[in-house]
Amino acid sequence: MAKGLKKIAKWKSGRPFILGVVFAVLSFTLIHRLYQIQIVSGDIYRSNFEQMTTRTREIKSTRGNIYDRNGKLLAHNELSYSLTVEDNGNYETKRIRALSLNKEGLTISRILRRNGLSFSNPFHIILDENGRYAYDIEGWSLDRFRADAYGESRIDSLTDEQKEAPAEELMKYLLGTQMFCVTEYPRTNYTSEELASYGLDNLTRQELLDIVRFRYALFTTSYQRYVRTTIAIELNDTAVAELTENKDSLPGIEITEDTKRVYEDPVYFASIIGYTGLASAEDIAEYKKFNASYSGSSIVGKAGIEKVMEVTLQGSSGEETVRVNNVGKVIAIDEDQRRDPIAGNDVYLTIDKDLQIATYKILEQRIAGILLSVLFDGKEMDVDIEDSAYIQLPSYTVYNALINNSIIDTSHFTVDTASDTERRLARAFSEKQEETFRRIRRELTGDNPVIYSGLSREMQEYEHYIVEDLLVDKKEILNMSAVDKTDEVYLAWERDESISMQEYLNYAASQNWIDVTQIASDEPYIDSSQIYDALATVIEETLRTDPAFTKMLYKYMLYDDRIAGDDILRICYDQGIFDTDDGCYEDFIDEKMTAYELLQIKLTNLELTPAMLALDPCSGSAVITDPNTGEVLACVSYPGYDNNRLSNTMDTDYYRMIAADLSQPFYNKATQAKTAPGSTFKLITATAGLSEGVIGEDTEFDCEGVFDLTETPLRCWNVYGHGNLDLRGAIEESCNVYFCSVAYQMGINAEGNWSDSLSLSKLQNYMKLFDLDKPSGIEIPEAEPQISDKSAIQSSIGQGTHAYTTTQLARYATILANGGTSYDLSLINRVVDSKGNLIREYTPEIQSRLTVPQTTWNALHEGMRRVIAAKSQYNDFPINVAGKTGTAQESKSRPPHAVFIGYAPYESPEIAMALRVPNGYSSTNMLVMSRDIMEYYFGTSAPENIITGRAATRDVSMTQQD
Amino acid sequence: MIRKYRLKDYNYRLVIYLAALGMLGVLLVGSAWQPYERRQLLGFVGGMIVMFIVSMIDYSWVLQFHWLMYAGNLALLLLVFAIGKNTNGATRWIEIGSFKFQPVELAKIILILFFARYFMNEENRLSSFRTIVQSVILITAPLVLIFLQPDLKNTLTVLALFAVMYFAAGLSYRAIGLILLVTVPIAAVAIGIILQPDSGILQDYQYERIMTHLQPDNDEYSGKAMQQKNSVIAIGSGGLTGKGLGNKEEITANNGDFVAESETDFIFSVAGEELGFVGSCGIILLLLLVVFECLYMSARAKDLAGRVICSGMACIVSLQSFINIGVSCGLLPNTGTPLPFVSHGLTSMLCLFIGMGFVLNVGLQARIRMEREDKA
Repeated sequence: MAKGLKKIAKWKSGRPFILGVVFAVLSFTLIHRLYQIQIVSGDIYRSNFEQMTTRTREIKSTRGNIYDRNGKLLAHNELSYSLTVEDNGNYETKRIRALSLNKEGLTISRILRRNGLSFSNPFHIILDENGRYAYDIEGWSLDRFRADAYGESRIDSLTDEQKEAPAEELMKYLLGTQMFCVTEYPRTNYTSEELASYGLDNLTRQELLDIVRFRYALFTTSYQRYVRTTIAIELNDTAVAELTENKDSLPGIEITEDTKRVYEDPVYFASIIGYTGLASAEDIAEYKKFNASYSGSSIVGKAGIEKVMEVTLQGSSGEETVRVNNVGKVIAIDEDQRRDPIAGNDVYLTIDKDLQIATYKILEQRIAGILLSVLFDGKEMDVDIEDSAYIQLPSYTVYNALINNSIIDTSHFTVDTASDTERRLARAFSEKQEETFRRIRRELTGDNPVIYSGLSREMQEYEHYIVEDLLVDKKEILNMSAVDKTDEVYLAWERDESISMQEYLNYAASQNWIDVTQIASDEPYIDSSQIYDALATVIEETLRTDPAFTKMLYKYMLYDDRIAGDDILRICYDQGIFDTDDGCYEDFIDEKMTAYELLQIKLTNLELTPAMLALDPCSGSAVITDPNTGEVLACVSYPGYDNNRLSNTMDTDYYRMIAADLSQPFYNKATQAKTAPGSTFKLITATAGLSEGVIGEDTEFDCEGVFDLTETPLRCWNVYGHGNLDLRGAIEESCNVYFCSVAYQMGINAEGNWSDSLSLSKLQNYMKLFDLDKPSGIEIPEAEPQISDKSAIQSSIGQGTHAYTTTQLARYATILANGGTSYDLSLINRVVDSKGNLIREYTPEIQSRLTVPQTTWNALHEGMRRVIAAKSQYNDFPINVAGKTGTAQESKSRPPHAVFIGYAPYESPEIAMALRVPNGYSSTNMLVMSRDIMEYYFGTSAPENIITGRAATRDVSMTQQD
Repeated sequence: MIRKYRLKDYNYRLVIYLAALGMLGVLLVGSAWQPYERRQLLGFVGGMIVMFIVSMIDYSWVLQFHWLMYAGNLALLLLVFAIGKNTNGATRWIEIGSFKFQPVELAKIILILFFARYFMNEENRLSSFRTIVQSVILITAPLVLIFLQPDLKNTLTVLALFAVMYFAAGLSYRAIGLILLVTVPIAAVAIGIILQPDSGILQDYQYERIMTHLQPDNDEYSGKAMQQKNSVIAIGSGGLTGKGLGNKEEITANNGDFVAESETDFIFSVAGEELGFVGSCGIILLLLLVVFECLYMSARAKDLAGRVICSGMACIVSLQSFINIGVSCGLLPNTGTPLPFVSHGLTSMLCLFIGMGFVLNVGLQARIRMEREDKA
């Protein structure tokens, strides 16, 4: 022992020993640290680790289906396949990586294009009609895209050239050495053999664009590997098969399953069912109250039943616990922790699918029939029409409508593939444009401007458009809030039309109504002549591309015979609106068939629908109920739209098109559009008269064609007078004088004087008893009704300030049909869970009961029965129908609205309905429409005889009978 | 150049420790990244063979060429700048075909051999001012080249190695005291300046690494901190006994790729996670035993050169282990240093085994045995 110690001491300087101590201390420092983290804090680190590696992943629930009352499918989910890609390939060199990825992009794009698909990842360069690269967005979104493409996180970081870079320039950059190296490679460029060996030689511009788009998808996620990007959606089976087959040569691709919402017969049901879309922040906040599983990736109902029944349809998403690696890639799924999603419930509507479709088609046929019946060959009506119900439809209006409602795409006239006719029109258009601009400039800056009223109608329209639409609304150059509305010069322009546009604008500039910075911001000191030049230039530049002004010019070209109806219809063939195999094409081209004849044919076979023309009438609505239950059997809004193109990923082009369509397909004609009820209201006046005791069933009034007991005389539609009529007769004849007299009687106060307000308040009581002051109860959004609050006499015959939706009129018809029970109308029949168990049955609530003596009901019913029985349109109809027609005049220059309410069978009603065609001319048209629907519903005629797919002109009339 | 040795004088203990470490290394690397297991095994076996061959060569004979080695070393370090491969802003590798080689690893061994002989030559005036200045100049040349690569941690390692060798050679405590008196304040000021963000002395990535360590929660540096943070979590989650070596059933940080470079610089995170506290301590103790054996042989070396060789190797093994494990468990800033005999990395492994070969040769010629032989 002592010897050992001595030995240690003997170590020459003991220095290895000292080093040993130092090194030992280092080791024990480490052991101490390990003790700290592994033993003392081991549990904390273990739970940290669990947290780091454990994720809960949402499993989406399946959205419930929507069925009609008979279990026919209306909305369901279909599996859809998406193509995703991640950049996980390993390449020997960057050069090989670039070549391989570009080849992969090309291969995928070819497979997609073969199958009618294309890349779907966000990218905003497209190939325009001229084969040039162009952006498909503008403004801030375009700046943002440029910044992304140039790899800058902020728009401000872009250089000035980059900020303005045209699409061609950006493409060059993306294709080049700094980005995706598609066409060239830095330092040593690709050899042509090299490119050829990858199949990357001789690429078309479209192929180059596709490759860039593919690379861009990878580029946008390049900061993180293992992140999957969706590059194509809604793959079809053949695309899936082809991609799967080539999976080995396409590293990183994956086909993922998704569901998409599919609507059956979308056009007929879109107004009821609505559509789905990605949840917005507001949606999430709202629905989270009901179900915690809503998140930013939830698909929710955006309109209609999809929205109303959102929480029911949604179900509840499940959860699974997965273990992930450092980049979040799932490496294991914990089966024990899985919570299965609960599928959404199925919703059964009260709607009868077949009836809904049939009604829609009947509406379309009948509206087309009305159009055809007023159509004539010509430019304008020769005579001024006193009664707007006799307005006729010149064929030139129809030709113009094709351009005006953008059915014909005028921008296609100038592309490379434009037809000869299109080119000719484009040339004529640019001549017309230059000429018009010269005239406008002359009016604006010339020495002898013409006063407004002295201008041609054409120039008036242009000037009106320039001042009111362009300068005020669009450019905000003319600041209306600064304008003194009592100013003499302003009134001279606006009201008297006694000054020229130049004079008006001149004055406006002197009054500082004009925002000079808008027209010439560079030069602060500008004299008035310069202002006019600058203004004329601004106007010209804006009008040159202004779609509304373009349409105006085409209109006058048409009316000035610079282009002909022939040209318009030829272009319909050129642009594929008409099929050249239609059997008419050859005759038309050979001039064996006139444009007018062709137009009639196309309107008749519904290749041109009322919705496409968006003329009067172009829309209609029908609501059919079961009066015994208050269930809605059909709720049609014509025209409809294809909600399949709005659900899932919204087709924004389609959305824009529908939103701009002059026939307003998004506007629900059954639940949103309101008009006065016209003569259909007279049944309420009758009820009021009987209940208030001012008339009895047999009280007679003598109609001499005019009611003149109050200040403004009111004419009966039958100017010769109906003579003596009792109540039933008055309902049958829809005699204005009779019901005005009833209202008048109700307004005689205790002193024996006439009081409009007394009469009106009594009438209003009955409007309320018929629940016309309340929404109909239908589950989808509905406009608030408005009961008339002016003029008792006008109100008593359904004019006044009444405004009701078709659904509200349908409830009114339902109350009449069942004799007093007012249901809250309902579209929803029952909710059933995914296994078929009934969750909830919906029975319409009774809103109120109207109790009047049975004799009153009998009088009303018999009157309504006589209305129908007397009409030739219902000759030989085997089922007894009761009803009432009505028309409501809204504008002197447009045909009146046509309304119908009714029910059948008269003896024991099965259905009640309200129909309305805005600007539908005469209520007779509603009679034939109702008859078609009755025939279909009761099966008294074979469906193919009713729904012919052709405009129905049978029994159409313009004579007013109410 | 080859002397007659007695087989029983061979330090089998050291060989066994190294073999144990090497085998553990093979298993851990295999667990970290399966495809490397074979290469690691080949490297390990090859390294042992090289070590055995080197251990048969008389180190004194080799040391004759110490100036040649010194010059060659400088040439090699210069070559890095000429044909080196730049990765992450630093040029440290020479690529010949598919063979990649990091000269600094060899430089450390050559410097040990060179200074062993140099200090022996200067044995009698080790603490003289002239020798101190001369040796500082001699170490500065390679040090600057290493620093310029830039490679801060190896600069510091070599600096420490130089200090340990000088100390082991027998620099007087008086000289040490004087040197410390001068260098410590200078170093303190220098570090202060270096850590200014815009001093320009540190390369961006070096600065970032240090700041990552000093401020791990600062977002600016968190990218770098993540690897180390995950490593600490991985080691911590290993607990007492770990999750099992090569565990593929359970989710480990290793399986989930949470720690990048887990086969080289962060091999210890695999060890800590899969072998737990027990296994980690085992590795540290094995390394310490290697160090002790080196020091033991240093004490018994026949001459000053032998002593310096053994102490130098002990220093390298100890220091690199400390840095590597210290980084893995969050004691030190994140800097990539392989764990001796364990990490994947052929250059480092081979150079260390060469160094150990020399240590073993020193052991074979131990003073006590030599004396015994002389007597005989």
